[in-house]
Amino acid sequence: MSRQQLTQHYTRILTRWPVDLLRPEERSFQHLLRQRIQSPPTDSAVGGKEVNAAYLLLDNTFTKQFPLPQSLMKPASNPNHYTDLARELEEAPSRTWFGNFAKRVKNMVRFK
Amino acid sequence: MAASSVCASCLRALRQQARTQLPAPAPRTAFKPTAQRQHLLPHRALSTSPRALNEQHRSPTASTTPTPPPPPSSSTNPPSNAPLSSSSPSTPAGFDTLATTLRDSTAPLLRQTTEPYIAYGSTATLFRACAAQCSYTIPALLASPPQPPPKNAAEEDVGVGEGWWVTPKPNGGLGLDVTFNTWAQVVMLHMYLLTVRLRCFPAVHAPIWHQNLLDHFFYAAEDRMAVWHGMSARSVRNKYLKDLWLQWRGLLLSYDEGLVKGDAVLAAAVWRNVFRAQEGEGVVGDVGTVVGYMRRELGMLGGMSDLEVSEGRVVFGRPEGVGRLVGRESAWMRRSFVAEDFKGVEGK
Repeated sequence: MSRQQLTQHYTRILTRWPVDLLRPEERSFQHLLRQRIQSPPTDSAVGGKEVNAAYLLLDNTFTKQFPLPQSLMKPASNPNHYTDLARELEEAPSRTWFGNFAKRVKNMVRFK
Repeated sequence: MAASSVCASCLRALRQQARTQLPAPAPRTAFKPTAQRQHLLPHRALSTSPRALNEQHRSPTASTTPTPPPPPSSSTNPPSNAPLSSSSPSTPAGFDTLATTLRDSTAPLLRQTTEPYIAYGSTATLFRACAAQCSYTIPALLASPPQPPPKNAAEEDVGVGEGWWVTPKPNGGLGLDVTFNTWAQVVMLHMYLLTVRLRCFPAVHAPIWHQNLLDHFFYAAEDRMAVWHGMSARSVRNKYLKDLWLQWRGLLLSYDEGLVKGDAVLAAAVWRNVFRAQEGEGVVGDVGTVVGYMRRELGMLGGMSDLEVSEGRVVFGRPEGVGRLVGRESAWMRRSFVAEDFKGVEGK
């Protein structure tokens, strides 16, 4: 696999990799991919394995190969755990300072 | 004149020594049933009682109203309040019936009294399964006279480790740096897998199990800091333990996010945590191996019953097998490129 092909693969992976709004840019996977695009690995076998692994991850290969039982994704101690988490992760990046403050105050008192 | 109290370092050393010399602990039961008493104890292990668990699953309201303890289900067991004429003299007569009654009661208060003790014991076994994945020593400290330990580029103490995670890559391992942070991350990853499984316990017991598992980890971490990294000052250890706590909470959130959103997000989380966001050669392949391993083990844990997990009978699989899965060629490798594929670098 030539350097140009590797670069094209990395670019495709960069386009499709999910964006992370919660972590700083230096800790984002996109940062790693951009570094790889600028200087692709010299050993094409290593680069090929990396690119292949990235594609497998993008395709959710392991999620499909090892499906988790519903009991694990709706745990008995808190069936809404993962749905609540997903909603919170969606809302958190766009919340204003006051929204964060109000949420913290509201969470101080929990009714059973 | 001998001191009347043992200094903390000697105590820790004695404890370590004693721990390595003790035989493997016997299967945990509340009391060791002797041959003559065995038929008098209902058949159960040191665990959340499966009968009560099943009852709770079937009828969630049954545990909210206190009811008298049910008679034992097996016909070979006498009623729990029968006098134990053949109990061994070392145990006060009727004491083990009291504990058995507490344990098997469906009254929530009585069950909850015994739950922390059982959780403490079983989570010790579970934690040992996690800690067995990765361990290290610093040989320089064991030399006579003790030498200062070698440091890596980030000024961390480097040791000699065992376990697939710290075995060098030419020998088939993952090749992570043998430092305290690596040990903590690997153990926390396995603890995370157990945490996901422990969430499936009933709501009234799950927090106790989570807390006890964490306690074992922090005891071990503090031990390691004091024994292998020379942190005899408690304030220094506390500072690092607080940082470790933050790492744990962040790890919980990141890995849960990865479970919900898919393999790519889980891979990014693993890269940030286990691999410290480094851009080493071939790091994405290694990240893929770890993600495959995590999902495989989660599937295995999901298939275990609550009874098995609460008895500590968890054995993690070998990560080497996942390497083959990551080697399979993806369909994308042969797909031709279109203009859309290059949009990621535009505007940068």
